[in-house]
Amino acid sequence: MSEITLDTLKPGDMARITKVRVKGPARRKLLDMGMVAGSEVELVRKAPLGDPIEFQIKGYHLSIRKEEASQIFVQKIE
Amino acid sequence: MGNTKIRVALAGNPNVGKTTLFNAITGSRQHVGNWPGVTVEKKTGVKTYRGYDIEITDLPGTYSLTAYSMDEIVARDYIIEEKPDIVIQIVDASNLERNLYLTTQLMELETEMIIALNMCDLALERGDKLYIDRMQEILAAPIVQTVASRDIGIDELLDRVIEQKQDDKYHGREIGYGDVIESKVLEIEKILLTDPSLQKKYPLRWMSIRLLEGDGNVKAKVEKSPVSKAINQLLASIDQEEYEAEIADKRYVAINAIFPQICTRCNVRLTKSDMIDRVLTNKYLGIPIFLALMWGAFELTFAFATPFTDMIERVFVWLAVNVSSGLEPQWLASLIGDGIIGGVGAVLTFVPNIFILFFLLSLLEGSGYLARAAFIMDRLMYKIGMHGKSFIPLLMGFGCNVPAIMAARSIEDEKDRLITILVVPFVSCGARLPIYILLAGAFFGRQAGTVVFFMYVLGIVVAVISAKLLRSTIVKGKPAPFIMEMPPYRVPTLRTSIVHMWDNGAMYIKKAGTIILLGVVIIWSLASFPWGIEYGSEGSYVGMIGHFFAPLLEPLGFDWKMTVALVFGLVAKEIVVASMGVLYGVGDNPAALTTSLIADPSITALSALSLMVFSLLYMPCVATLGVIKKETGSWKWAIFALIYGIVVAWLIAFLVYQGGKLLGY
Amino acid sequence: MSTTDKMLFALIMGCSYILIGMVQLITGALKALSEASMTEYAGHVIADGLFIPPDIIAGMILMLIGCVFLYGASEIHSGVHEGVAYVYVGILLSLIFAGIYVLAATGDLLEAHLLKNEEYAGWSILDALRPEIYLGVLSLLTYLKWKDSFEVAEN
Repeated sequence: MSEITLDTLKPGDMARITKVRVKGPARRKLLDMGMVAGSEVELVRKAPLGDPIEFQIKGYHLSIRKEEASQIFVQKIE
Repeated sequence: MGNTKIRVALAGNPNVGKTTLFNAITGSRQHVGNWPGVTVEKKTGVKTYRGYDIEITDLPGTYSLTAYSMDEIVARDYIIEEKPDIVIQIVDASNLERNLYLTTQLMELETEMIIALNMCDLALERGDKLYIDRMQEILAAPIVQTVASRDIGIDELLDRVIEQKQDDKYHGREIGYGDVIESKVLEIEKILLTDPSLQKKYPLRWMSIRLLEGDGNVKAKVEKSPVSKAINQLLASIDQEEYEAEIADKRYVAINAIFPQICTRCNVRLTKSDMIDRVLTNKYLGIPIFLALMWGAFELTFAFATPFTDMIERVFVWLAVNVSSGLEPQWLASLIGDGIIGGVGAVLTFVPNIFILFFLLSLLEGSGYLARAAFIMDRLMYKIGMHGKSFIPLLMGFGCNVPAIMAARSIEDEKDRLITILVVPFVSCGARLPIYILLAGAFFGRQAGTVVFFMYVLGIVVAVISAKLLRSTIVKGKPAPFIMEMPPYRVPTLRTSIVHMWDNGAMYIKKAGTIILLGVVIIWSLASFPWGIEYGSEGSYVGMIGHFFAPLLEPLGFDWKMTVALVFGLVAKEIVVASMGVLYGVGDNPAALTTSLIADPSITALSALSLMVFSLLYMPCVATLGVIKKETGSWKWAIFALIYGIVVAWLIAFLVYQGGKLLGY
Repeated sequence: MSTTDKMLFALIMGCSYILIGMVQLITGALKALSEASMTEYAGHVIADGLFIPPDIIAGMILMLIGCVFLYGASEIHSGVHEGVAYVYVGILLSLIFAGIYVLAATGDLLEAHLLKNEEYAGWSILDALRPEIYLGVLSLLTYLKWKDSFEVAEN
């Protein structure tokens, strides 16, 4: 199965994180918030202007910008 | 005999009801201040219970205890350095998985822990099954179920605190990170052991793990020790990013292992919160609803505050008349009447607005809508170099810059917050409106509305350009990443909102008030001396200052009277109008002032426009300067805001006036 | 209550909010644009009869609330069960704005009767009555009636 990035998902899509390539302090924060390899995420919705994006992860809702999402690699769960 | 003291720290994620629990325990006996050296709010309170004085410190709400933000550093430094007797972690029962992440980190700090399982009602209501006994066993910490918003479980929590204090045994537990990491941890521990002083101060295992994660703050703590060289060597040999991810991962693995044993949930269906969100962040309706709610908040702030503002004004007018009339000598009467009572009155008339604004802000925050506001506006704000969270403070600036700057506190990133604080003063606050109304009304007739609207737009444009400019010069870098929890919507608790309102209102009166008072007395002295002249007239020091600066402001089309009025505007911008009244000798009569302004040959429509532009931008009023100083922690930024404002105002007013002249107006 | 009832309610509320909002917006715009007194404007009977003060922004907000209701009605009509969420939020919004104007009226009341401010001389409780308030009361009654059905629908 091919690897895609988190920002290419559509609302309602589920995926499993394979790799977090974000650098800098954002990386630390994302890891703390549960964006670790193996976590399941669901794209809940995009903001009215298309960015940021809201995900469901570890039983709560987290929103991040496309910029960070495009550096998080996932495998889509059908 | 004095009571035994127990020092307790409250830790927990944001949005888990930490403040509500803190208020429920301490009631009104709390003290709000700042943590030393930083602008993070520190709250402490004391509760006397069963013969013990339980001193509670509310740590900043954090998701983790790394060095990501000031909040996290403050929270963990308090636990490590001040060593409270007991740390209570407030855990949101309806969101255990992420909340336990902080628990795994608290465990490593080797402190006695009690877990307050808050909002149990919500979790149970939606059908979660919680196995409390199993949880106590696994986490090796007492667990108390609480519903802070309804005062449930508070006494039991305090009982546990006392029990835990009486029991000297340390109940510790830690999680394992797997062979690879554990062997590195051991290696580092071995090196650290050679420095006993370090070992005495900080938990060994915690230090080792943090060093492996590349924690700069802990590294700095080790830097002074003789072992730092060996540590650095070891750290240089590993891929820290890899370890960082691995450690976070292992924590979640540990949580995943225990989670199914302590909680089984059956619901994943559409909740009420999701339903509301579907509408409030709707592609087409989201932004209009947001703007409508904000407008409503303003409408309410001003409409509901008016009678209270009026009452305060009346009290001060009465005071000024009655107190100063009987006083001798005359200068004292003037100082107290015109200066102090007038000045304090000017400060206090803002208070109703500030109280209501903060009450509403707290409702927005407590309901969870503030996070959505940032979510909705982030893209727009990011384009101009700011964070989604900056939008609300900027918007509040239209009411009054003072609470707007205080509201910037919700922005965690220092740079993002600084930029917000520095550009808020360009947003045209309510106090500037009387100036526009007077001048636009006198010189622009039917176009007055358009001119006033243009002033508001100009303020926004200058704020946006300033933000961009600051981003590329003094406060370099990109806005902080937007990584934000969208907490479920809740009905905010009234007590929390009232406490929040009271704290911020009191802070304004106390801190800003003293600075404003000082400013007012200075202005009064300038306007009253040399003694014997009419208050604020041409012969006073203010008049002299006006004359002195007049050449500087001449290219903008101002005469000395306008300059003097602008000096008075420092106290509060609405005073510009009042002092023009004094200077034209018409007092408090707007109609007469309008007539004499039109009659004055030195003011043309163009110079009036220039004056409006200058008043909009030239400098934050004393209250705003005071708050900038307080919120940034130094005079440096207050002075910067002052000078930057004057320069920008001069340049733009110059462009308007000279450009207008070139065009033949 | 069935979803059909909710759809009908949303339809009625949506139309009332949009129509009244339009009247408010138009009268507000006319007032801002012309110096002419309101009595010269032909539709003033409707505006006065329904206690609609001329107000551009308030008119736009009324129309927005109407849109939320109508959006919900159309979603329910096309079989999307979540359309109920729009009805719920529509009711919530109408309650919030009703609350705002009730509090604002309290402020005016204090000005007129406690402080006896000259600018508020002759102010009566009828001046405070505006569409936000009476439509809000309608919403409140409906909400109280349907409260439980919303709970069931969400769980």
